[in-house]
Amino acid sequence: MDGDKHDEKQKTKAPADTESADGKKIRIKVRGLTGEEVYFSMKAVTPMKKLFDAYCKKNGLDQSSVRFTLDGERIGDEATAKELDLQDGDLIEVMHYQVGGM
Amino acid sequence: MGKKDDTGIYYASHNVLSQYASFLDLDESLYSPVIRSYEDAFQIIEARSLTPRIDGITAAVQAMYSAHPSVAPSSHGPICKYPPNDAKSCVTITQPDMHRLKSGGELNDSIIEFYLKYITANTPVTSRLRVHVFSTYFFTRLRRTPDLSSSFDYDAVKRWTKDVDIFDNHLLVIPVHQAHHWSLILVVRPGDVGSGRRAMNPRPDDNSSFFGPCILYLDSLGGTKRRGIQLIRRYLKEEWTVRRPGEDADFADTYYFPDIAISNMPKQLNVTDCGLFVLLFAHYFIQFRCPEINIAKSAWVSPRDREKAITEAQWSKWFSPLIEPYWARAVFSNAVLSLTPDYLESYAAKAEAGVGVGDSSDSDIEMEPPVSPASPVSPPYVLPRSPQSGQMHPTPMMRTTPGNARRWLDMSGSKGGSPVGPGRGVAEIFGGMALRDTSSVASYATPLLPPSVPEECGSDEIRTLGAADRARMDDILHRTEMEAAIEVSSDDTGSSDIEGMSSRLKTLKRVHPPKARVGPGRGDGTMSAEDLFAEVSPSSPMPRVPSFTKSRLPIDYRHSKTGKPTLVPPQRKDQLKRANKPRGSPGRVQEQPTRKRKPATSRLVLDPEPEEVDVSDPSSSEAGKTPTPPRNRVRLSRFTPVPSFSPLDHHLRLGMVRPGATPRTGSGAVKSNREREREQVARRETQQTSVTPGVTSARADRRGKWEEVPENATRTPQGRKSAYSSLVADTPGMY
Repeated sequence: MDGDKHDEKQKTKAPADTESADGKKIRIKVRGLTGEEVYFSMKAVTPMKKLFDAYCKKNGLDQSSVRFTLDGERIGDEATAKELDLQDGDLIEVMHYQVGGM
Repeated sequence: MGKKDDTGIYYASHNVLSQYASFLDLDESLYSPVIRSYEDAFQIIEARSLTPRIDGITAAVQAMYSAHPSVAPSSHGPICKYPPNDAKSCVTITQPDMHRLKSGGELNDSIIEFYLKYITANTPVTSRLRVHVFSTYFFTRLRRTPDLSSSFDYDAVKRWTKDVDIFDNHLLVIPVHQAHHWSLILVVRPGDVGSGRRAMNPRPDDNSSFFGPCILYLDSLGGTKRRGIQLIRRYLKEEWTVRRPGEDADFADTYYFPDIAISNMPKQLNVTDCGLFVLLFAHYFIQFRCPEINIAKSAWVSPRDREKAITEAQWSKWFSPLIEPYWARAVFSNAVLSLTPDYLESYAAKAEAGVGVGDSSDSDIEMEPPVSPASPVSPPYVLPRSPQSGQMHPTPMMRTTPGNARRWLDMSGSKGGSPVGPGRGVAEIFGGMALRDTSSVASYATPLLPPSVPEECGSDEIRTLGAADRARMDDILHRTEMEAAIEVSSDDTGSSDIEGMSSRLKTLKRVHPPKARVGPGRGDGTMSAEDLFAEVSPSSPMPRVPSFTKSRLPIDYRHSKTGKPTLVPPQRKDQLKRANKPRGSPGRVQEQPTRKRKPATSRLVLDPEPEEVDVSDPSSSEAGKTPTPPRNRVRLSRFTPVPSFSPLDHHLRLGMVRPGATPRTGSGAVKSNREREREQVARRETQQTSVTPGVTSARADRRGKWEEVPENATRTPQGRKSAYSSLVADTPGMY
């Protein structure tokens, strides 16, 4: 389901790729812990830390208690959308930390 | 080589200990004196080296961050990132994660994922298999959707393997986190399940071929996890159809593709080490340092023999569950610390250059208003938000409903316009997390509904009173002068306790006229009961609440023969109707209550004629004495139930104690509760003293034996105790 959406987005995005300069903003979808979705628009060269900070601030979360994942891989907070090949409408999932002992 | 101790647990060899010490750059002299017990040695080494080492490195990292405050991370700064220069997958180990590697710490997802990737990348190529490590969130995400709408969500993890073909790998490592426990699922040679390559010949050059296609489940607590394995089978099937369309593979076939829950491998001996065991299992499997599987190499092996050989391998001698976790903690923390200098160097370089990750101007990031999920599923729990700001509600445990807001208003003191006076404030209840003023509480629930108290249900109003008010009113009503006044004034002796209370309240009003008030309440900020009464004005939006009098109740709580409440007879319904009419209605008929009453002759005779008294009507009995109060005073009858908090009154109303049974003295005036109790006690005493020693009890009579049973000796606890102590005293050898 998500994959179809991504494919559509990429198709429609293809002609606009030529003008994806550093100043252009892209929209990134963030899915929270309970499944609600929020859109962030940010520059492609902005480090992801700002998105994380903004999201945690909005939702009152401690940033050390959540992980931001893209396709199951954790995103470093220094990475930019350009480095991550993020397209318009790509999904970042927020995961809760896991601790296990017994 | 190792040795066996008396419990049969395989102890690690001396090599492990020396290896451990060499990890930590320790001299053998540290552990050789205590070599008698390996565990002691590990503990001493850990306490003297690993823990201070972790503390030292975190302190150093923190000092470095504080040296660059402008670009320092907000809190819990990272110690290392792995892989170092990979934007797409980056596991960040922070200082709190590092402290989890100390003895007794529980591992979290960051460390698990870090070490699984680390050991996969750092295994020598010669012995390395093709291994794919799944994220710690893979199983969590596959198992259910965040809104719990589905128990299998392949679409969520479909894109997670877009860059890799898992069926090309020898080993899939799937860490499983469930219910505060880590376990491990290993899929060996999943590609061999395809119909094209069912080669069952173990090859000496390929360790994984000993295992063949199978699913291994390793749980250091000994679980089996059948359901989780079924999920993995379904996932592999879906993935196969995507990756290898047209090829046939039966991942549900438990013969060719068995799942084996290894049960005799080392188990954790405490409640903190499951993460360590998962990493140890994975560590050894990725390097394929496993117990020997007794399979004839280069011969065809049936899947069943293979399964049997795997199950019967000597997994219990794999490693020592006592020693290995210590060793593992050191190895894992060493892996982290080996990366730390490079990370800190690069960070310092960035900080010098000013390309900080910490400069935060929120100008170039905007958040759009939240959109609902694509599918209209309702999450099982949603934190309530205030409609205005969208911020998280300060008290997420309580849902904001009109009823709740109403209750908060009532509890939050007189500031919010509640007539109940100072009670428990919101701040007191929620411990400093309170809202600033009650008007914001009201704004959460618009429109603020008036309290809908059903008719004939006056007792519901009790809830809106604060505990302090109750206590104060109770106090007022039990003053001795009040009691005296009641005794003088209450000549309507036949009324039951509810009416008695009402009359007491009337007397109270008469004796204590409302004081001249400066503001709302007394001068000291508190409010007396009279103040409460006067607060309710006729223009108040409160609906009229019927008083809690006997005549208004649909159920007559006076006692029938069975002592249970009876319904009001239908012929008296018109009387009830009249009594319930509003005060100012013109058709009001003032009727004098009948006061027929027979004197209580014996305790078995009930009051034959219960009378109808509307005591809340001020003009009924004492109309001539007191001037008719203003209308707003009349409404105050809604507080009539308040004085009913004496326990005896409560029992009376429930019919548990019959008021007729209480012997009356003198002219039969209504007794105060204390007086009644005193009389009952006195009656009991006279009954007991009147029993002569020669008279046997009824119990003895029923038994058919005419034996003397001293009642108070056997029944009262004192008597039992004395009998017991005398028994103990008589038998000296007993204790």
